[in-house]
Amino acid sequence: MTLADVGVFISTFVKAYVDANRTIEQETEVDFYVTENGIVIPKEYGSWIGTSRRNDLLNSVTDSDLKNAVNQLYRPGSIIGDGGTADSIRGENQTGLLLSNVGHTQKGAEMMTYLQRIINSNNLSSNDLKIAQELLLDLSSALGGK
Amino acid sequence: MRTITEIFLDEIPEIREKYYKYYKAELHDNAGQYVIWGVVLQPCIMELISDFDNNRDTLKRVFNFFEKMVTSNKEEIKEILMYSVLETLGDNPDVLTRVIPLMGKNTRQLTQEIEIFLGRNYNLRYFSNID
Repeated sequence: MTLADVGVFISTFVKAYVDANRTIEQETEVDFYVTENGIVIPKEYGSWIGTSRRNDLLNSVTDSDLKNAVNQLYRPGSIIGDGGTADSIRGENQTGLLLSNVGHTQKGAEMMTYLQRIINSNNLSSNDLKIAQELLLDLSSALGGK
Repeated sequence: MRTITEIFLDEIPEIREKYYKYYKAELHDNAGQYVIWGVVLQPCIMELISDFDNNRDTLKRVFNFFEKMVTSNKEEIKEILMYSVLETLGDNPDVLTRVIPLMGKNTRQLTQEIEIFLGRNYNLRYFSNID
């Protein structure tokens, strides 16, 4: 299934919802979720809906290099898991929905190396170090299929 | 063989100064292209966009280069751009609305697909005046 197919699929569900309110009997089951952003998602992908934790992370981190890493890894407004690259990788692996051949996999692998270098710099506060290690572990887990 | 970063910097030489402002040898030497594009070049491009009127010509050439990357027959070239730069443009509607008119047809299409993928469908309205 391509992304365009998903777009058509979602549009079809939206239309079905509107039509249901007009003409279909009340017992009709509508098989989708609606996100905080008002996006309609087919039921089978409902477990992937989440809220981006980017702002929380950016507010918690003080090191500028680690902020750059968070800035690259997390998208504000993303509804895929916690909005991070690791959850994008998990989502791509489990749903098969990809925008390209390898999706976010290569980005995740290279950002792991970057995070490791930041950790190795020994310039991080204990809180930043904890977050950097958590991000590294999350990417490692996602790339390992977990 | 030259990397896509080297080709980009040769084609848009005025970015080189900004590039070295963000480049840190201890973090970026021999780093992968995703790190270079995401952590070094992406901030350069955002800096150009923040002073849009004075950098319009440079940005036109930047987005012409992006169109070549998007249509490259090497999938990894397109992916580097997608996941390091294009998916960050929709983080800020002010940025997105400024750069959409500079995008080539394929870059525009791909950026819309990225926004749908991320569930940020609210950003699609900014493309409507162009399509």
